[in-house]
Amino acid sequence: MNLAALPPLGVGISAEFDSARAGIDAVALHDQGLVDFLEYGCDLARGLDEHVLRWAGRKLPTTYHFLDVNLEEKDDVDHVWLAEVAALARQIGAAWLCGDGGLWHFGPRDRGHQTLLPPILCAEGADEMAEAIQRVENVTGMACLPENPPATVYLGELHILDYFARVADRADCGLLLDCAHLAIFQRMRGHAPLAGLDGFPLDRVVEIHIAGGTERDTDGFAWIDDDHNPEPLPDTWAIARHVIPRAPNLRAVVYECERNPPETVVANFRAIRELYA
Amino acid sequence: MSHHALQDALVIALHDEGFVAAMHRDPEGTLAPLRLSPAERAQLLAADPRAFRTDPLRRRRILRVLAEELRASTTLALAETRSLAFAEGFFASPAFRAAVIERRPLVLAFGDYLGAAGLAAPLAGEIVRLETLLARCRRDRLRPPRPGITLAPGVAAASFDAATLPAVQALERYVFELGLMPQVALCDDRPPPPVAAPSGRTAHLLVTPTATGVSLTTIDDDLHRVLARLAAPIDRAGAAAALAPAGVPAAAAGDLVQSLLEEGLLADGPPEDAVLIATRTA
Repeated sequence: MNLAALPPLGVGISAEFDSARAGIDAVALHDQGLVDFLEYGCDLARGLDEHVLRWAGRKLPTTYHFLDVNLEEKDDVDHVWLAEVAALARQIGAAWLCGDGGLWHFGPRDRGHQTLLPPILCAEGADEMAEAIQRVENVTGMACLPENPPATVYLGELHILDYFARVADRADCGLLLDCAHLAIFQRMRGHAPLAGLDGFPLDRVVEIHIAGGTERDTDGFAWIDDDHNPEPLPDTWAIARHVIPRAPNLRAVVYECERNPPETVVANFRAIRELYA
Repeated sequence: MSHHALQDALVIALHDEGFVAAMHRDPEGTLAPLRLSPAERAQLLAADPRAFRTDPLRRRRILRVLAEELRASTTLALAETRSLAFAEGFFASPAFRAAVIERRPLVLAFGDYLGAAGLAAPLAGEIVRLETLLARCRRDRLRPPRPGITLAPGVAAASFDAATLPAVQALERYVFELGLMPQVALCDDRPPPPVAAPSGRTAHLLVTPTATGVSLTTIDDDLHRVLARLAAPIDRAGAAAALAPAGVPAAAAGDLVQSLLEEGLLADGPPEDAVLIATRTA
């Protein structure tokens, strides 16, 4: 995949089915000059909503974030899913496909599961994910960017950055680096926020995510809830500040904040725009 | 060993605290069915047990979806057991573990769990069986036809006590009315769920696929007997022999099969060894 040929999209906001009803209307933020594109989180069971159709109707840029395929299981990437995803993505003019590389469901794809789990961080798993991504790209003709998922338990011997570096190398694909999810991984494994980034192929990073998280405690076990509240943790900012100037093919930065009151995210949109100017 | 086995173990551990406790107490016995390598087993055991229970609503989110589909069955089960622990106990059941390992739809496993719960309510077994059948047909309708002539994907014919379907509809209406104001469930004078008695009569029901799901109709004895004979694949030459026990004259068997094919109740799938000229799309 020729990453340099992908269009620059700027700063975007995430959305999911019906998220604008109680959260943020991206069109309004676009009109304020804060948002350039919309990343729509989609599963085939629910499809497109009025919000993304209204956005796409104005010919504004989008990306398609899947919520219903297990990239870790190449058999899950079936023809029906591929055909329907490609049709929806093209309907909204998506520049590429992206989504968490792991498990969105267990067993056959079914409505309402969306139980996002991380992949097993091993070489064999990375190679299978690479096969799945190649299949997505070959059949849809669109770039597919795997994203590092959040979790409280990561199994496997690899660092998550090494895992996705291997995926990108085998699949020759771009990457979506979620800075908040990486901060979670580093904390769970006891690493510093930037650990492992020196060997990571930042030239493959096409998109990054920035999102708020909340530090929580379960019976003395400290963990980070990826709850997309307005305020990213300092570790997340540190990762974003490190990556953005070092990623030559970076095309898009998404601030995942769609379910918050609009006034609580304006300052951070301005900060992100300054960071990714 | 495939990393998928470790992934299965992770799924089970995230949904069943009892499994996590058991695997630390008795790693050999608890993890043996998952066939993990020693390294994978060590990785799983090295994870902090508390990390598996950071999301207390994980089970409930899945149950919500399962209960939507097996609505009457779940209502009946919870009305009888009055126990959330019973519902969440599904994740500690052999049905759940088998579904994870065998990649089986969870809703069918949940149906098995409810069906094996020994519910005392009249018609409980029939209601669970009917809703599970519908769930299976909703998923089957998307698969390619099996080789030979047999019921089309998503089609099923089955017999139930005649009071079963009205009982399901009454329970669905009850849940709808409860959903108008969920706090009603907290009231001592809340309306009780409807309880139907078996009728002693049999109703034959036909499940057929639609664009978005399945539909259910009552059929007569004759059609039920014919469709029951065609639940296992036949070939055209064997139609007369297959349908003779259903009372179909040999001379009429071919035309009957053809008409059922045209109605979409049967499908004529390619043989297993057929050469495909295009990849199947389902």
